[in-house]
Amino acid sequence: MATPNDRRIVYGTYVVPQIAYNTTSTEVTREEGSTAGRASYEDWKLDTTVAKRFGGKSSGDHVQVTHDQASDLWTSMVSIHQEWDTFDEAWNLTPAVWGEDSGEVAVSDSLSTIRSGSDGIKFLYIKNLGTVQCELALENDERDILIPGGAAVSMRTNSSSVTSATVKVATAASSSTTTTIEYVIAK
Amino acid sequence: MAVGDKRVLYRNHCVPQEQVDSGGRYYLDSDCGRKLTGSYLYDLDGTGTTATGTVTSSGAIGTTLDFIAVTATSIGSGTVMISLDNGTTSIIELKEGECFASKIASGAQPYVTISGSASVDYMSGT
Repeated sequence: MATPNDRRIVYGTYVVPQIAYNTTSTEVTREEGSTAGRASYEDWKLDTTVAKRFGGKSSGDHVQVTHDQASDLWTSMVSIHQEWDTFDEAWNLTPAVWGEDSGEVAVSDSLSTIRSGSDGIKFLYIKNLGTVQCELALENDERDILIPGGAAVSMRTNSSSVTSATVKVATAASSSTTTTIEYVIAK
Repeated sequence: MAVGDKRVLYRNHCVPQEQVDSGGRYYLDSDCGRKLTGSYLYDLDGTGTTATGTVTSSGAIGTTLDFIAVTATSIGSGTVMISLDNGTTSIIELKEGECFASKIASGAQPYVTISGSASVDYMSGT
């Protein structure tokens, strides 16, 4: 399969801090005793301490990653449009994804690397597809980033310090729990 | 919920793209095949607290935090990096307009390193 001329990743983040509050009652009692309007109830609004939404997105060249990722396993996905004879991997070396279409990768309570090798990583996206919280270490096995079920993290990583060998995932240590993730780990 | 409770809705997404020929348009990357996104509504425990601020020089964002969002609002020169070990190892880079948001371990020590001239907004939740 021909390697593309270029690869890039467009990414973005959106954050809304919220606080619970009591709405203003619009309820009135009419002449004959019935009510109209709506009584006060609890609802959510923009957090008054932060007082703004957070977020951002890449622009310009976005995240330029290496056009030749060397392995199809830089993403967990096997596109439905991918033809089997253009798959880069040897069939007997990729049992976890061969023939699958979901992109799910199992995670246990032991820290394990996701992408083999030691290349510097320029971009990372991980989504927790399960319900058990996933922990992500980017260096020194420090499980500093937490990914609850359904959540995802995406980031432009510092390729000088974050490598394939240092990106590791697990569920809580010694919890005997498992989850599944999908990922993009681009050098 | 009770009045005063706090929560944070956050969403991260990405779209891998490939360019077939030099100067041509970018298409959805065929190794991936789709756009990717994940979102979460994070309830801060009990009477959770939030804080926000702006930094223009290197420094810690806080300690024993459960959630951070950091945005590089402007970069005049140099780089903006984030570490989660009090500045020892920078692991995330932000270009102008980019944001990092995630739930973090309470033992993490988020720290922003600015080399050059930049303004960085952040919020935290505990």
